[in-house]
Amino acid sequence: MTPNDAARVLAKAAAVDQRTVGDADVLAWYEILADLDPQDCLDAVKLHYAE
Amino acid sequence: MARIRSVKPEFWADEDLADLPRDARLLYIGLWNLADEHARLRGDPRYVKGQVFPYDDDLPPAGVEVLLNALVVAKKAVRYRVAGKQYIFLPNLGKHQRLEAEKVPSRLPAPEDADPDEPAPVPGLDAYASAPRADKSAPDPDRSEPHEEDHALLYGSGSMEHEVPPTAAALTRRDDEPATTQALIGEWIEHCRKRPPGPVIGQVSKQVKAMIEEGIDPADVRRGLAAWHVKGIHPSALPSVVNELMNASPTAALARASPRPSTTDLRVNQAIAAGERVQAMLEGRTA
Repeated sequence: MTPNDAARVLAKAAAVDQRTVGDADVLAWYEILADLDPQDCLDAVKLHYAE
Repeated sequence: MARIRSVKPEFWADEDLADLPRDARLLYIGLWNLADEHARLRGDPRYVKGQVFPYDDDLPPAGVEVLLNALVVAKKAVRYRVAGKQYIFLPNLGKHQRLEAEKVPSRLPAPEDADPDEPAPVPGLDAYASAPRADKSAPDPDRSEPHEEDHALLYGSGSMEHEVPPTAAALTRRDDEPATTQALIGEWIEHCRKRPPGPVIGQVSKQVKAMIEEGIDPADVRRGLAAWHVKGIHPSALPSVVNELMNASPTAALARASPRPSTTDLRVNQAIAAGERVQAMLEGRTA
């Protein structure tokens, strides 16, 4: 997981809930998600909003 | 000082105006209010934006300059410069409004006083006579979008610093010359107010090169680059903008005439841009 990957995950969430994403968000989520697979995270976003 | 002006019913039926983007027509009406009894007004796009579109966050001064230039091309406005300051003259205002020029002297210099040594904000009308946009009687079959020249011409319109928008020669040059990645990037940088940061130039170059190598028509890339420049969005969105222009439906073309960026696109672009910044920051820290 890179910061760019974390940003893509947040971008996917932003596309749904219109949240604003800044550098601090990316940095924080990058640390949280660092050990996870980017595709898994993207899938998790999908599942989260599909519920 | 703003003045009351009237809009005649003929305005809506004017075919010359019909070719202009909707925002340009609204701006034209706004300029009537700003013009004095000699049909002159201050011409700095930042001033015009503040007076006519104060609440439109999606329309920066560079966008207003785009619209102003469209009015110049349509021969509805003349932009000129005196002592370094920009002014606008509305040649047709007197035909439709009751102006009392003889009663009130203008505080603004006349177009005839324009400094010959200083370039006008845009080329004079004579220069535009040879521009492709002027020849409405012979439409190019390859151009399905009637306002593409307007959009592309204004590409550089944000350039407040060098304040010499593209000449008519530069405009006609666009589709005639083979466009390499370097040439396209050069044109873009030339029209930026200030030289963009290296990483941004790098990303844009990468996108342009990939599209050229993919076989996308350089003319489409050039138009896309111009439209992207006006939007001010992340370089990663450049291919989408090119695609939007290449494959636009008539409805989409109409929608583009008064662009309202999607909130979702903005949010996503913000997130991607934040990712790029953080990535660059962390890479810089580890390097």
